[in-house]
Amino acid sequence: MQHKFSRIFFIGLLALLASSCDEFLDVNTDISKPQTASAPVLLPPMLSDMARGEQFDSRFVGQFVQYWHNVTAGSTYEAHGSPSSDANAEKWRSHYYAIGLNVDLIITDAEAKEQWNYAGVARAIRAWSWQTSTDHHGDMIFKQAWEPGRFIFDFDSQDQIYEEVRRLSTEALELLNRQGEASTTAILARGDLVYAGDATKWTKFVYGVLARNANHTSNKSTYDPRKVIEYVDKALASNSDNFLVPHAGNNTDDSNFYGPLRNNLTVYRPSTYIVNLLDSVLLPARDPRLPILLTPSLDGKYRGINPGAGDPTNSAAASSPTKLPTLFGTIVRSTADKGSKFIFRDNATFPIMTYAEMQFIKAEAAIRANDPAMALTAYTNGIKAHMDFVGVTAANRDKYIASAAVVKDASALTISDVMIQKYIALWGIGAAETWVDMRRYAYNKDIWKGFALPTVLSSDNGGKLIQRARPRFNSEYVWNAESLKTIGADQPDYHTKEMWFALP
Amino acid sequence: MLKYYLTSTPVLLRKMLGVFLLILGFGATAFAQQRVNGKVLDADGTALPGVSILIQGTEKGTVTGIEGEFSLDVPADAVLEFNFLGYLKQIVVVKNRTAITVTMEADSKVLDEFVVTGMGLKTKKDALGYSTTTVSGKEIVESQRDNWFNSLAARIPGASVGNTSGMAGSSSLINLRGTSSLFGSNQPLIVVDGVLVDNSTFNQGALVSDRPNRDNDYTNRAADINSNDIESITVLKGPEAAAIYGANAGNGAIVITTKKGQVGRGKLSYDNAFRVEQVYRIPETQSVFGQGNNGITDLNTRRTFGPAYGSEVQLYNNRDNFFRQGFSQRHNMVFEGGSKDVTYRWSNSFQDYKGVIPGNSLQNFSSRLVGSVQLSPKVRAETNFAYINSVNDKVFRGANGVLLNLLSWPANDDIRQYETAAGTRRRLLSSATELDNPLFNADRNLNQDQTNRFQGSINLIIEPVKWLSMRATLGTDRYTQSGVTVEHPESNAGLTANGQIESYIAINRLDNANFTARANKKVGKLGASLLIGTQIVSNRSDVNSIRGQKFFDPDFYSINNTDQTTHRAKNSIVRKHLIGVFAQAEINYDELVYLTATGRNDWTSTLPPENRSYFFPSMGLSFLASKLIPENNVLTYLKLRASYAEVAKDAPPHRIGSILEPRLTTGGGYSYGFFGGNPGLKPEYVVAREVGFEARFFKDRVTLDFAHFFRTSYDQISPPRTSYGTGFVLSYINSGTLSNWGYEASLGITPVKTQNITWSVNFNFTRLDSRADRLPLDLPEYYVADSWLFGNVRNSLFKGGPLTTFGAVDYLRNDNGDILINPGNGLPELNTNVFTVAGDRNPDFTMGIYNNFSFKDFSLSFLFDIRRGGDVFNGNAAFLYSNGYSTRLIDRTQPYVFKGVLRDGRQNTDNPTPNTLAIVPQYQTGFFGALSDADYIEKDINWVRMRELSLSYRFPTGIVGGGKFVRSASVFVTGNDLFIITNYTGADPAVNGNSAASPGAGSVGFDYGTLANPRGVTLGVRLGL
Repeated sequence: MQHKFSRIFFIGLLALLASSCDEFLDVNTDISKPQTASAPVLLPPMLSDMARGEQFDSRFVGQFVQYWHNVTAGSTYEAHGSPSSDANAEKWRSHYYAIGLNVDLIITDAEAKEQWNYAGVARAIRAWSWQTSTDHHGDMIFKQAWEPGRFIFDFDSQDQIYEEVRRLSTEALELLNRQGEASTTAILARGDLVYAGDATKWTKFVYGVLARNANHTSNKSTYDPRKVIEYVDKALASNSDNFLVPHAGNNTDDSNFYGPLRNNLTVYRPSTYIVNLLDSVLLPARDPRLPILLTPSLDGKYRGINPGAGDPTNSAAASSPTKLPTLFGTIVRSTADKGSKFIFRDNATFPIMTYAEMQFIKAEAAIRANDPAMALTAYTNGIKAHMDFVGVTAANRDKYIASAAVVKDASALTISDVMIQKYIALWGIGAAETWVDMRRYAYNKDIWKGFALPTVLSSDNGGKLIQRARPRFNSEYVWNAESLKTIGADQPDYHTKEMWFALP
Repeated sequence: MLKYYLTSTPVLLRKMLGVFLLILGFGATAFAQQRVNGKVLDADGTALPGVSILIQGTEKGTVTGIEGEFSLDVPADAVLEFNFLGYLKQIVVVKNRTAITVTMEADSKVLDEFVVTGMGLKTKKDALGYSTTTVSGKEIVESQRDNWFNSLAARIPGASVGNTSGMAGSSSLINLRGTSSLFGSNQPLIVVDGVLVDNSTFNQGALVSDRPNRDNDYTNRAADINSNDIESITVLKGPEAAAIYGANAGNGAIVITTKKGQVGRGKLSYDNAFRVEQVYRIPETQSVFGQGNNGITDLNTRRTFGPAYGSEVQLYNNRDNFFRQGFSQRHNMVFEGGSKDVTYRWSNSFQDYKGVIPGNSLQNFSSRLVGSVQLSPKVRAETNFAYINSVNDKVFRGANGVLLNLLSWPANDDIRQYETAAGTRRRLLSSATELDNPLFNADRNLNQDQTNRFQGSINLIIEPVKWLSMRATLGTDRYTQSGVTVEHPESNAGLTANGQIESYIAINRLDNANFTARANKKVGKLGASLLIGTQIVSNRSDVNSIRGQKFFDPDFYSINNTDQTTHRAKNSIVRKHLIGVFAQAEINYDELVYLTATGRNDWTSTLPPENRSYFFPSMGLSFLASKLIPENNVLTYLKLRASYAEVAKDAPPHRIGSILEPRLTTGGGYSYGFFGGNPGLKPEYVVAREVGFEARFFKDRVTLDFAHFFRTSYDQISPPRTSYGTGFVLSYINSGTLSNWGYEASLGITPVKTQNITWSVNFNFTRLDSRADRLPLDLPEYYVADSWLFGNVRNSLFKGGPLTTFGAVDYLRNDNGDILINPGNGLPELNTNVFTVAGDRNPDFTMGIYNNFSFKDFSLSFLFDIRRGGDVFNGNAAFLYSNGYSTRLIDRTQPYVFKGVLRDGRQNTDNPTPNTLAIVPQYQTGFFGALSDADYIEKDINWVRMRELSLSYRFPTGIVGGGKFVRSASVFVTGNDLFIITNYTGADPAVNGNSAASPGAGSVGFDYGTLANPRGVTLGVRLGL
């Protein structure tokens, strides 16, 4: 008895020691930083990263589609080149890392708490991210993406990613529509800086992603313009549905990537092409958006530069009457943010998707569906919506709509008319979509009238135009190089390989 | 009881003992007695109390008193034996003398016989199966280094020691037997009197600004230990030490024993040291060409590719106008004393040091109290408390640092004029991005660290029975390091922010508790000892950092002086706990063969629960071959040894889960940080083997120690960058295998040893090699990002190549290996996609030669540091060349044709077009930027460096104060880094491009923007009162 008792006592003591040992060793969580967080806390950075990824790479894409050009002549990007660099691959980083697994954290948290709207929003963002990232990079890591314990990844073709966008969108729509006590506007509003918790607007955003997804394959026999129109009709229905990422603009951390504080656009000047489109060179009327989007030199004249040519006035004094102003709207960059305009302000919201873009997608699909009346309405809506968006007065807007620059006769409306107005409506904000358009139409000068390709192409290109951005250099080229070879991305002209979406 | 009584009351001692011994001895010596009075001294002339004296052939004797004195009645023809632990036995014939002074000579063999191998654990050297090196405190003090790490340089075979730069307070690192961890720390563990001591170097990652560890340096904190308190340093080089100390000793251990109070009359000693320093080996710059590009003057560039200065232009020696003479003064004061049962030693040190760069200074105060108390005959307590305060003012280094700004200053501009009449910064260029005038930088920017540190420990030593001893140790090391950097609103770095101040406070705590029990048993010729022990370690660091920008008043330095909306704060907490249990068994046969086996199991907090417990064993064999041969005067000692050890190392803390980082984007919130956690992490393993021998010849006049080791580390825990497909930028994984092997030898010769003259020479030799057997994820190249300091040169690991490889971007070449030349401009083209092998930093061998002469009261010693082979990246040269300041190619008008073939599409045909395009460098600045940075890797750099030269003189006891007031006095002069003979064209090939905080194989051999070690001469006096 005595023995038994002491044995129990001894075993008990050992157990106690063992458990206090475990307690002593359980200090491996960082108590200054969390490992999980709730959905409302995770969503705001993700929204900022959506804008950042688009804006970062649009600096380069903007040179291909000729939104703007580098002040220094001979830039590789101006020549449709793709040097070994992380530049022009921020979408890659954004998709896998910045947004990446944070999506799953939201989903886990939201589903446990039955916050279906958050779970839907997270899927919507991932669907959008797949769509825009594959449109930028083409083949990507898809099936093995984010697989725990995996460090070497296979690449998957774009058609599979297009399908994934549709799958995720469907799931997102279901969840956004799902009712639940914890799935309220108020709860979603806590993290939703874009739509203030309005799940119906997120639903429209998802349809917008589906509309892009369906419309980008316009060269394929499977293309169904009716499907595109159906999606657009369920997508953003007015400027109040625009997906706008807010920026506080207080400091470099919370400022707009395109603002003067961040200093990311200082070396770019508007292209001759956009100046010509707005300043009544290529279209018969002067566009009232001209002074809103662009800035004249001190002599009052609007100037742009040609691809690869550089800015001849770059080293001219600030007082020089012909010196090209910065995109910010000032002659030289000023961190004081005085005189900055449009999306080039430190606290500007940045559009990820607009109602105007949707209307131009619809107009294109309607032409392809042989419904010119619908096309004309959508085309006109698109122009008006963009003018309202950028702040053109109603009088100036209507004057332009009435001018010869805008087609009135439905039967005369061409794809080119739609694409030119879409180009203007996406200038500065939608380089990714414009690039898709240009690749679908093979940079066709008959579509974008007056568009002049660069005179010099990168020696790597073999005379071909750029079709895709390479996977991120310091992610794939350095650490996943073997897999790259399977898609030919180790080839010097990989960036000229046509996209799946653009192929018939 | 008697002992206690005798030693604690020395006056009574003599009388009582005299009576007692007299009674004892009466029967043996009945007549012809005479009284002998005498004194026993050590070699320094200090009295030795407690020396036992025996009249040979009798049991009669006495013990010296507190003044070393004795008095004994002896027969007139008596022979006296003097015995004292640690000293050679002295035999003195009385020969009718009545007064005798005996000098005891220290027995180096006895001191060498034991090595501190574990927590207060002494192991007989004979029993060790691996090599160790011990450096005496005396040598460390003599070297006059502010950071005692640096005094170990060239003294220890197998060790590479280097301080980061020549700035006061710079960090220093020790690497034992190469790199065993790809990404983790490779620094050895520092142990003081059985207690772990924090040797971290502040990592700038904890700052709001999250800087890389390259533009600023922070002292490695073990430097806080006052070298004057060090009795000896034992270096355990291999992972064998880990059996007792745990995984942290996987890179070896540096075991410090502090000086203890001496039994005897209380002593006060004072010494000082005054040092002057001078810059040594600053890269040369040209003063022929002025600012401009393409041969045309352009005052808006710092680059000097403009036309040559006219003869009327006044040129300035900006370098001489910038540097100053460094000066340091150090004062040490020690109080010590004690009886047999209670001893104490209180040591204080103060140093004020102004470096050669204006604005760089270091102030130190250290106070350490060491005591021991015999609580009962079986229990002794030893205590150790230290307080350390240090203030270090620094200047920025590296890319925007003082040195490069100084070197790239046009010669026609006087650098001293850094202010305008209005007191604002005088600009050289109109460009806002202009780099700072280094004097402005030193004057207006602030960069300071302060450390307040407390170390305390208590050791309880219990010996209940003769064969069993137990030791319990509690130790803590706590310090607060705080710092501030100010970037003045007018400085380059502070311009955009309109002034920036950033301060941090780091609170560090390292607690450890150890318990060991050791039993010894001898049965016949078999001896055995068994040790068991446990160790508990708790480590925590809290860093709070704040940053503010937009100064209200440009010259007032406080966070209060900044715009509130710019304030940023960051908190970082790192915690780590560890429990270890260990055992060591040693068996010997007749003290001829020793076999030692150890085993240790650790439980760490940093690995997932299922992997957090791991075991590692070791075995050591030692064979004293000399015991088998007849005693002779040629080979007096020969020991053969072999050992095998495994050690497992845990992960860095907080790497199991992926951590969310706060975001400052609009709306705030969290998202994943760069590092992907790994819930499957397991320990990384090191397996080490070593064989060697120790031999002594000619009555120990020649000693030789040789070791050959081989070490493999596998399952390396490292965070390589990976495909973003992981969802992260870097991921913690177990992967990669490294091998290190090498040879170490030390040879000691004492060619002369007479009463008055001793000359001894010690050579040590090291050759290390390494190989990356498998890289993480089987990548073709793995690079240590921290080492990528300038240009396209970095520390790259290629499979099968050494860990110290330089990777660099090479030229584009045709199939034949010819450099391809751009047909448009005649410049060579670079293959920027690929880093290829471009050199190896590892030397063929390194050697240290230490000489010591003593003649009567003079002593002269010097230490040479020799290296052969090993490449160095001269980043300064690359920088100077591409900015027009290099002294190379002064004749810029001479047309130059790059050797190579044109990249015209025919480069790989049978008839490539040889390049004939001539470039006149004067008019084509692009010429200077066209070279591959790999061209600045200087190959096979050798050096002979005089590290230390020290001369001292000890005044004979009688000269100063008749030996009454001043009991000993000496003066010394020491020179540090007096010269270096090298084929390196840059400054100092030994500097480190990063701080000691940078992981892996480090950045020694990357010479970029770092001040070389200055040379210094120290003068001082030592007094014993």
